[in-house]
Amino acid sequence: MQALPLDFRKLRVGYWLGAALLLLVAAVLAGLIHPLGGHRVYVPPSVWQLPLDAAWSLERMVSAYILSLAFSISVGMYIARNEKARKIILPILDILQSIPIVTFFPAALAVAVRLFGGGRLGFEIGAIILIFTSMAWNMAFSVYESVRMIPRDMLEAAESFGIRGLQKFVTLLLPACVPGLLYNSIVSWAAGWFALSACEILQVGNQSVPLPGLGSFLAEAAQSKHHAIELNLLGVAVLLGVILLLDFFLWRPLAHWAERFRNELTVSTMTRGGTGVAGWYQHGAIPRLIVRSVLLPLNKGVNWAVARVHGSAKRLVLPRVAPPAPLLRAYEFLQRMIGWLVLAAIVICGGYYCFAVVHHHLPALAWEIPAAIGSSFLRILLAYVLSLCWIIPVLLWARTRPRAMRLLSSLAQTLAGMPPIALTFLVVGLFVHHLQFGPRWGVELAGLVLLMNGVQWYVLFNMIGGISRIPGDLVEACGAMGLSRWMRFRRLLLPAILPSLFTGTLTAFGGGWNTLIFSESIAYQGHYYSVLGIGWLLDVASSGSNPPIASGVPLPAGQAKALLLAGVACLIVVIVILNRLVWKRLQAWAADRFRIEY
Amino acid sequence: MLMELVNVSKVYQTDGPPATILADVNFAVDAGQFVCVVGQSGCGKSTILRLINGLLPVTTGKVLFKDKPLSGINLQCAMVFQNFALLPWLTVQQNVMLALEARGMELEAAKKRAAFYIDKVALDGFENAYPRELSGGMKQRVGLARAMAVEPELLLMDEPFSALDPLTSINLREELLDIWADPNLAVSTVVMVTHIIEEAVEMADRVVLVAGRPGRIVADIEIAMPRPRQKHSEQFTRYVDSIFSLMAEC
Repeated sequence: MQALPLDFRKLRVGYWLGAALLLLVAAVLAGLIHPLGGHRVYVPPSVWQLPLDAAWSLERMVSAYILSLAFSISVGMYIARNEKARKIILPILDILQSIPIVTFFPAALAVAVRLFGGGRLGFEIGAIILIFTSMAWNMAFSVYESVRMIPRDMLEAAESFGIRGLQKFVTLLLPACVPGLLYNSIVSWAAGWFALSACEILQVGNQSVPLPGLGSFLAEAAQSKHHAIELNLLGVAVLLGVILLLDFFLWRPLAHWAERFRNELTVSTMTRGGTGVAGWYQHGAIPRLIVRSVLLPLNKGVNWAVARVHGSAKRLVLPRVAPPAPLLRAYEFLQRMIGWLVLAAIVICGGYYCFAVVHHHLPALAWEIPAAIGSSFLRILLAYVLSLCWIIPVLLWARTRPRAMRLLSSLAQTLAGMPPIALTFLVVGLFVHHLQFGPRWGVELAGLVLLMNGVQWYVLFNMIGGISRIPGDLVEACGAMGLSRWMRFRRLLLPAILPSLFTGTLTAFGGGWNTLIFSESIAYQGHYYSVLGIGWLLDVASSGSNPPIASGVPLPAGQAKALLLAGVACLIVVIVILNRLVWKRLQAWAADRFRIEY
Repeated sequence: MLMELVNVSKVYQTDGPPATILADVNFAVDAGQFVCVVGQSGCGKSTILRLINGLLPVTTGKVLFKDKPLSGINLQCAMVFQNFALLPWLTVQQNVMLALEARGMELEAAKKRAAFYIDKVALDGFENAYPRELSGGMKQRVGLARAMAVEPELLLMDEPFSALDPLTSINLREELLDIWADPNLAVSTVVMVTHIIEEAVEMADRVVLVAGRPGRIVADIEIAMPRPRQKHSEQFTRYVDSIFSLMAEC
């Protein structure tokens, strides 16, 4: 199978894929052996539990990621090649991508528990689905865009040489997706870690069920009576350690390898200079020994299997014989009818159900929704502007310093994955209790810091890309014309980064809406703090009690559902309007007006 | 007759009114001929190649290959693209072998065949290089090797030298003519699209001139000159001038 670009003999990735697979199998086995059911309500966090917690969290992340990969490749490829499906699926993906994941929680959990029972397995699968909802959408978009960006002559060449079916998928479509998919995988992993704490403490009725993991460790540490700060910092350190290890062992070698799938010769900010483990094992004897004795045989097996599948699939490719036209038309008609019927059934039944619930059970709290969304929006806007205030000067300073740029990019990738719960404890402790800002402004300030953590890394991420794409000759030309610093900023640098700034805005606001639920509704050491906002309202609605803590007053089941539906519906409307009418237009305008091309 | 276009027209369905690209195109290619299709950019000459290959369906009329009407991709043709269209993640050898694998050729045989044609285009030693490591001329050699490796009965070339610098394109043109003239190599019939008239007169047995909107064939000129052709000869200049004046008339 020399011609397969995914030749596992040549890929270092093969080793890591194999290792990931082993890890997954081990985790599944462990999950089966582990007794189901008997979930705890509150267990004081134990330090000795930490390595196991980290392993559990990693297992959930890996499982959710594999699910996301499968989803994004199949759906992305499908909508890239099917125009009708695209018209329906793209807007749905667009909405799914920009609404806060917490709104999926009740539904995802209900599905998992229905299918797999209310024991440990059901909750585990529920948690994995929740993490999946924070990972999958941007990856699907990237597959779709990558396939659409394949140059026309390349597709024509493949077609004219009779390359189709699996061979086309493996040699053309899939490789074309690799760079975009990898970049988005890194973003998705950050989003997954970010959502982890919320995904590992599941709300069943008004009871919270913590699954063993880093996220629940952090959440419990924040409530712990003793050594809260130490436990919190320890949890953060372990989480950072896991993120950095993954970066070194997985993402850097992968980014290095993915360079070859790039179509154009642009400077990549993704590789960040180092090659991580790829370079390390080339120089070390022990790592090489491990690779040779364990991973290489495993890799051979995978290779053999791939060759088999590829070979047999090739034999299955039949010459294209078109069925008679009337039959084909009848088939297509049937297919279309079934599609529309299913769609109509979903829309009508779903719409009726939602309407009935909202109509009969809407609590008085729902009248707060407009004010809540408004104030939440202002908070995100403030966090966004504050982020820009530090990011632009820092980037301008770092622009000519490659080391600083690489450091910033690492920082953004690592800290974007820091779950809010990891910061909540420290921030609330600082503003509310230590600096005595009081429950109103202290919580606002603490929430602002948390929001900035959810917003700024996306801005930074996108702007690093934008700034490193500014052509060197333009900078030189400005220097040669003797432009002052201010003039150079106003005439060259600012216009050149505007497109990526607005792209970043779109994702940053997505991140912001996602963070609200953690920044507007905070449980801290037996206290509960909240500010008026959609994050707080949704937290109340999805946990079914007001305030959303164990000692809160439970809302009647119908009311909680109605509040959640109404809140989510309003939020979706606002987000879609903002995206369509503001951010996308600004983005398109900037991308057109300030495009750099020759 | 190896290939024949009979009363072919092509209409593109765009968002606006349908655009007629080609109308009443009739022309035939005999086995062993080297035919150049020339015309200004946008006249539909690249579309003709894609119709012959079956990449695009004709709107009316038909494409005959060995007297049989064509439907779908014609795997007995192979195309060389203007911008090479090599897969950047495959090596030279893998790029050349790709089409052979698609035809179900055994791995060892495909390797051997690929090595033979890589050698023919003077790229031996670069089998394991990736396209980005090659110059433009070398990339187009890979494109040529890939097309020849399937041993097509008809080789289609879409402005194959336009993206290359002048010196490289002169060399590659001469090599292509050598390959075409080599009785040991399978490639004997070529249809090449170009907008450079000198290139067409230097290489072709026949020059087909496409002009107008929609594009029609306005002239079909036999180049009766011995090979290798002297570019500075009076006869050569006369051919070039007459084609230029025909083009200007349209």
